[in-house]
Amino acid sequence: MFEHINRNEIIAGVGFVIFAILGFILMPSQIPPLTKAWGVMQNLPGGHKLFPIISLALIGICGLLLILMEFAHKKSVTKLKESESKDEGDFKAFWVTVAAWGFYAVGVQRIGYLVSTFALLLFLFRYYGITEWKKMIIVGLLIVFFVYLIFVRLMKLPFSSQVILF
Amino acid sequence: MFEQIITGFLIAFSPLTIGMLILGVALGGMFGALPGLTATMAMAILVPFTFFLPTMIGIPFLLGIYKGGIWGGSIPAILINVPGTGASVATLYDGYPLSKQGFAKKALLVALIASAAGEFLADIFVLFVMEPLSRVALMFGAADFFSLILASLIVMSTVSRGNPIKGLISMGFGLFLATIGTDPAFGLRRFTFGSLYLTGGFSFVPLVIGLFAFSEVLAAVFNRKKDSLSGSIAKDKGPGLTGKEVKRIIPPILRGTVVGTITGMIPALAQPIAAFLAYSIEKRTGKNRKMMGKGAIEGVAAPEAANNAVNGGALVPLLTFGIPGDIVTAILLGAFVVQGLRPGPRLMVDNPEIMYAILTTLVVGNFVLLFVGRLLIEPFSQIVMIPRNILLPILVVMCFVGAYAINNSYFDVFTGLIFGVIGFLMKRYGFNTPTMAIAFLLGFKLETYLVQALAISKGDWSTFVTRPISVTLLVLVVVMLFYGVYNGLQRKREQISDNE
Repeated sequence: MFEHINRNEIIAGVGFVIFAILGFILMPSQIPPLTKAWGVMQNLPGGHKLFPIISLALIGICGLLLILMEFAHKKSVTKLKESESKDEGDFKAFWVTVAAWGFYAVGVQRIGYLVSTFALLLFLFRYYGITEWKKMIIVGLLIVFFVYLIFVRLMKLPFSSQVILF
Repeated sequence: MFEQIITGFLIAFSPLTIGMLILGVALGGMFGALPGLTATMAMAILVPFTFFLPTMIGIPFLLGIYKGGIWGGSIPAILINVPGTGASVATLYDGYPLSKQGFAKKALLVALIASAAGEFLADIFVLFVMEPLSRVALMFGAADFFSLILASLIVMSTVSRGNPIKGLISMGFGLFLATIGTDPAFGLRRFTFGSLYLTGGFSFVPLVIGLFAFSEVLAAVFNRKKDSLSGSIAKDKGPGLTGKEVKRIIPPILRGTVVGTITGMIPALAQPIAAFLAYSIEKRTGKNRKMMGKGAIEGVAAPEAANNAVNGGALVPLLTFGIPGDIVTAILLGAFVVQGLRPGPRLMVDNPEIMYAILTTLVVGNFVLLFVGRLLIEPFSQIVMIPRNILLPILVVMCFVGAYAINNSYFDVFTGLIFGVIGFLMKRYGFNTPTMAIAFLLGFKLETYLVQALAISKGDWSTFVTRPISVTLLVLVVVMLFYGVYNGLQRKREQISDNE
């Protein structure tokens, strides 16, 4: 019955509805109650909760509208473009890149900026398909030097002494 | 006013200012020339540099990036039929055919001249319109500003490309993110989860770096199996421009400039829309319209003039009302604030010399664009073919360092990462990340103006409907909301009937 529904729209709609519901559930614990509103602020309905309430309500209602619109038009968008419908994408490379950022953040603190940056570049060059080691090393060293020179020496950005161990 | 313009010129013409303009144009042009990298990305990654520089060095640098980035997108559009930025899509239609016919150099020169001329004229307009508009803006009260910001956000959500319902969700999401931290009325914490880092909310620049730079890296990595740069660049790019041809491109440049300047002043109508509009006007009314689409230089001149003129037009709402019309001006707004300037009606009053210095820098920057662009056309034509697997790791490093550099904080690095993933997902599912980012940027102001308006009116809500400016804008909000929902449903029906 629902095979013609655009799944992506439903996922997006459901995601935002859940986000809005979670926001409302967490609100009592995350927004302290207003014990005393002074003067004209008493006229602000909801007080300091007004904007979170409005924005979460907007997200939730529009998320619901997205879902309802999709189910309302049952003969929905059935022919996504081939590349989209097959959902082909390199999920592994995506998560490797995200993880690399995380490891880089740890490495910069533990090992130091220069070594970590060089290691990250070499890893990503290799992972993204460059096979010539000479090219990788030369480009990697150039970039590390360039970024260090520009960010640290020239612009005097305040990297902490922990970041640079050289 | 003329004395202030002259003082501004003197400040703007310092060697360091010109030097930073040149550097900005070159870097922006490089980012624009590389397919997959954008002017927005360049601004997001390079804006942290400016926080450690004096105002008249940092701001010209950013303005140079802005100009160079939009122009640079024309280079791959002309040479390899791939737009470097969204603003250059319309340039493909005649730019690439010209290149295939052996007139690549001609097309590249037309794009450069049109970009510089279009933006020059738009900047002159801004220079003379700023002061009177600022006086109008001074008449706005808190209630009017609240309604103006709300109207701008609603227009952005419902008018930008894509489903207006998704635009409204993006806006709501951005507004919600803006509530995280300390509220402007009572100073109480909201959604900080006990974290000290979140007391001040998310930092704008790491969020923007994540949403617009790192998310693009993730998208490029995710799609790398599908994407490939096709085509090769001919070594001989053919002849340059003749005097007669320069004369021919003047009318399309003028038309494109008018379209671009007006489009730039309306929030959410950004460069791609201006470029397409200018192209279609040229196609319908231009002298050489029969050749459009087959390699007409007018077909390059019109969209290129328009997309750069948007830069000038977009500065009008930014500088007079403090409302960015697109994400690039939002980043500029962030940079202005860090430099101690508060874009809005008081800017002209409190800092007239700096304001005119910035405006004259804008004008001077177009000559810099012409000069630097002419020198760099050839090297940038080669840069276009740099493999993505070399660029992407470099961008990861630049994004990381840029996010870290703002507050010397790994929390900002974490912010960049999280919003990189969020930005990727939002784009993948068709949500509007610029609207979200601008709603985040303006959310605190929106709430502040609401509180101020109620404080001034002694708690009387009717102030929003009794003030003429405010009520006009609120009517616009209601109209745009209905239009947005109706438009969303219409588009859905059209999509269905297309598929049937």
